[in-house]
Order: sequence, then C-alpha cells, then structure tokens
Amino acid sequence: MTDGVNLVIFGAMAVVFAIATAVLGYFGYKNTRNSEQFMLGRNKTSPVIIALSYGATFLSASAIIGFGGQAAVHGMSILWLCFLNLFIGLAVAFIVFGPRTRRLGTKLGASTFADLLGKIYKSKGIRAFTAILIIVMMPIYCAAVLKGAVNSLSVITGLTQYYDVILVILALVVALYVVYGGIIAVMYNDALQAAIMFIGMAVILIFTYAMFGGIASANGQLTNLWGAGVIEQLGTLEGARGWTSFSEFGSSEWMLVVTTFLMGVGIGSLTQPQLVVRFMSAKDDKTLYKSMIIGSVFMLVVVGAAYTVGPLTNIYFADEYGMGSFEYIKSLGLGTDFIIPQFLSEIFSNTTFGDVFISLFLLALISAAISTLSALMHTIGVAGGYDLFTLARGRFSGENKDSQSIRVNRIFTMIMLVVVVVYCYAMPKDIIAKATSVFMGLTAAALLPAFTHALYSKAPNTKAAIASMASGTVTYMFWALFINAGTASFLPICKMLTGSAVLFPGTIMSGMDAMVIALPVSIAAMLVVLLANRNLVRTDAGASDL
Amino acid sequence: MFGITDPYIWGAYAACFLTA
Repeated sequence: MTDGVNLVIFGAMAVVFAIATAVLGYFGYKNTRNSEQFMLGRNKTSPVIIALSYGATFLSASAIIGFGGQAAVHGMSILWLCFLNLFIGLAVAFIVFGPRTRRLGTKLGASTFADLLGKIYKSKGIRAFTAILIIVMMPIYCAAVLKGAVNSLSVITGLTQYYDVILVILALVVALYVVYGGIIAVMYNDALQAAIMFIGMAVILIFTYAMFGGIASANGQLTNLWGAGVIEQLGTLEGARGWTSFSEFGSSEWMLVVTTFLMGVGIGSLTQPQLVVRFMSAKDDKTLYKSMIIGSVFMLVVVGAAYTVGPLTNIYFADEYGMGSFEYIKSLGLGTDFIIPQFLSEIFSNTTFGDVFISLFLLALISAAISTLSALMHTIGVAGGYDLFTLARGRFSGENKDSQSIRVNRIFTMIMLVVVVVYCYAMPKDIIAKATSVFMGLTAAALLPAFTHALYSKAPNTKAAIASMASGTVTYMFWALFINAGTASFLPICKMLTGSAVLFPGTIMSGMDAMVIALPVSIAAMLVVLLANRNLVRTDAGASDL
Repeated sequence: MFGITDPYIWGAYAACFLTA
C-alpha cells in the first residue's frame, strides 16, 4: 500500500464504534432472559431493524471487496448479481418464503432453521442433517469473511505485522456480543453497522463518479480504455468483451460470470440459515412487508456502488500506472480482493478529509464483516447448542423437549469461534468470493427443494426431502471436488487420486459451477420420490391448516 | 444510456432500479 491510514482519526472513530457496539450488546444482554429470546428475540424487532439486519447480514465484506474486486476484473456484468440480490434475495425471499416461514415457525414453535425443517417433516434425522451441514460448512464461509476483513484492515492501516492481533481482536468483539447478547444484540448491532455501510458506500460512489467527470463521461472512458487495447494483462478468460459489455455467450468468461458469480450466489441466498431466522424473528407478516422498503434501498446502494466502483478503478490505475486494476494489484503482490481498498487509499490520500473518508470506508468494511460474522456465529452456535444438544440429550436421556439452556448455546458458540480462527490460518488467500459461492451453492442444492416443499405442500413428504438433501449434497461435493477447476483446487482430492487436477480439464464442464448441476439433481430426486410415493404421503403435517 | 451501449449492461442497472 502506498499510504497507511491516519491511525489517530481511524482510532478515534473505531473507539466510538466500539462503545456503541458495547452499549447495544449490553441492551441485548439485559433483554435476553430465556433461550427463545437468545435465538429469536421476537418481541424486540421492528421493520427497520429486520430490514437493516437482513441486509447487513446478507452483505458481508465479501460482497463489497470480494465481488467488487471481481467486478474490477470482469466488468459491470456483475451488476446482474445486484439485480439477483434484490429480486431473489429480497423480493422472492420476503414475499414467497418469508411470511410462510414466520407462520410455520410460530405455529410449530421452531427457533432455528434446522428446528423448523425437523418439525415440519417430523424428522430428527432432517434436523440433525441440517444442523451438521451448518456446523461443518458454515465455518468455512465464516472464516472467509473474517479473513477478508483482517486482510484488508491490516493492509490499509499498514499494520500487516499485527495481522494475528487484529484477527483475534475482531473475533473476540464478535464473540462477546453474540455470546452474551444473543440475537437481540446481533440485530441491533446489524442496524448500526448497516447505517455505516450505507453512508460509506454512497460517499465512495459519488466521489468516484465526480472524479471522472460524471456518470456518462466515466462510463465512456471505461469503454474506450478497453477498446484502446493498451492494457496487457486483463485477468479475464476467453470471451470477455469489455468492462461495459457482457461476455460472449457460452465462452469461458461467460460460464464463470454466469454460473459461479451470478447463479451460485444469487440463488443460494434463499436457504441461508442465518437469513431464514430473520423471518422467524418478525412479529407478523406486515412487519416483513414493511422491511422490504428500507431493505431494497440499502441493498441497491451498497451492492450497486461496490459493483460500479470496481470496474471504474481501471480508469484510475490506467491513468496513473498504465495498467488495469488486475495487472496493477498483481504487481503489488496482492489479490483482487484488494483492488477497491487500494483504489480508495490512493484517491483519498491527497484530498481534504481524505483520512476521514478512508477511515469511514474501513469502518464500513469492519461493519460488513462483523454483521455477517455475528449472524453466522449465532447460527453455528445454536445449531450445536440447541439443535444437536437437544437431539443428543433425547437419545441419551430420553428427554424429548427442546433444550432451553442459554449456557450450552454460549459455550458452543465460543468453541466454534476457536474453530473458525483455526480455519482462517488453514485457508489460501483470494478465497473470499469463492468460499461464499461454495457455501451458498451447497446450501441451495441441499436445502432449497426441501425448504420450498416444506413451506408449500399440505403434506410434506419426509422421504422426498431426505432424497433431495442427500442427492444435492453428494452431487455438489463430487462436482466441486472432481469436476469444477475453480473449487477442486481448494481440497485437491482429485489430484491425489487421479494425478489430474479435475476429471475433464479444459472442457465446458470444468468451468461449470457445482450448483448448476446439483440443484437440478436435488429437485429431480425430490420429484421422483414424490411421484413414487404419491399414494403414501403423510396427511397429518405442516401447512394443511395455516 | 449514461455512456453504456451494451443493453445487457444498462439493462442490469434498469433491472436493479425497477426491482427496488
């Protein structure tokens, strides 16, 4: 990095932020009297809190700098992800899934996603499978979010030698308010963090366009820069046609952008356990509908700004260094996740109040990371401390009631946080966007058909749900580890077994994301079992009299 | 539109605003 941030200004802002976080954490602690309040906090939520909490949880630092950096390389076609976030992640989620999830959750007395699925299907196996999926896979996403925040924080502040200290401090801040304040502290802190993200990203978008002479001028310069052919290393695959043009249909570039970035993350948002809990926290359906108003403005500005500023960074780096963003960031020995932080630290370094803006962006980044982290840790904690603990206790002592112990939830959350920190050190760099895509893709393939069937069928079929979950999970894991070149490199089992990185290198299959295959397989498995069992369906469960 | 000629790109912006 060329300049560090002014640590006095950043430190002062961080202290104010920390005090506000502590106050909201204490508010959560005072209002958490029982296990239900620790997990759902239903009586303490308003449309504004739900909207901002949902938005801030949905968008982690991964969305801002991970995908913002990808947009710098692959261009404005990533804006379709902004559309999918709004359409699938907000409109479909809050209209099609939200109200029914809330009603069924209230009716069945469910407190977590695994609990809800288990109670709808009257299956301990489904509850255990969902909880285990969360405990095994979510820490990977969690570690990616934490790592992303610490990476950028240490580089922008110039404190890379304190990487370990920053990582542990961030993890501890999250641990303290999640463990003591429960979901109430998590959601109120989310709202504070969402406000900081919104202001930070809006300022950055306006400043960037102003710097390049307005919207049309900046976009025109970006188009011309690609056309001039002066950038040597672009970082794109075959088929890319420019930062302001969509790639050639069916090309490698198109496959990467459409199947991994757009579909993997766009569709995967529907079955995020930490987001489903937000629906169950609402008092009534009206609260959910009202949440859409603020939620849509928040997501449009934060995501739209990140994916628009990303491509525009190419103009600045080309003017300054004769290189595109990808080439320049590689020349510094950094990954694409650093394109936006690097761009901001350079453009703000010589302006009035520049340090304030950089500090604001840093705080927005920390907010984005902490809001997602806290929700993930809360979800992992209750999957173990509530779902699995209840099931294990039932098996060993025969007690079939749901666990009401806040203490077990707190202990399990702490243990899992240590696991997440260990994961951070075991993972390669440049992984944020990919790890997000893997977690969202896998949960969609494993849970989306079963979740949809649970909400909309009058007679939810347990066998069909199990068939769908099992086939979706197995297909996803096989495709991710043996076929897709992008994900197989993380855990090189295929290379160990066959000597080749993937089974069909260089083919269209090696560029196709696992979810594109696994979700249809999961849906097909459900339909086959439903048709085979048409006369045997249960008639006593779920949504029949809602 | 606003300096972008590819309908697949300005269409993305339009879709975002319409959905919001």
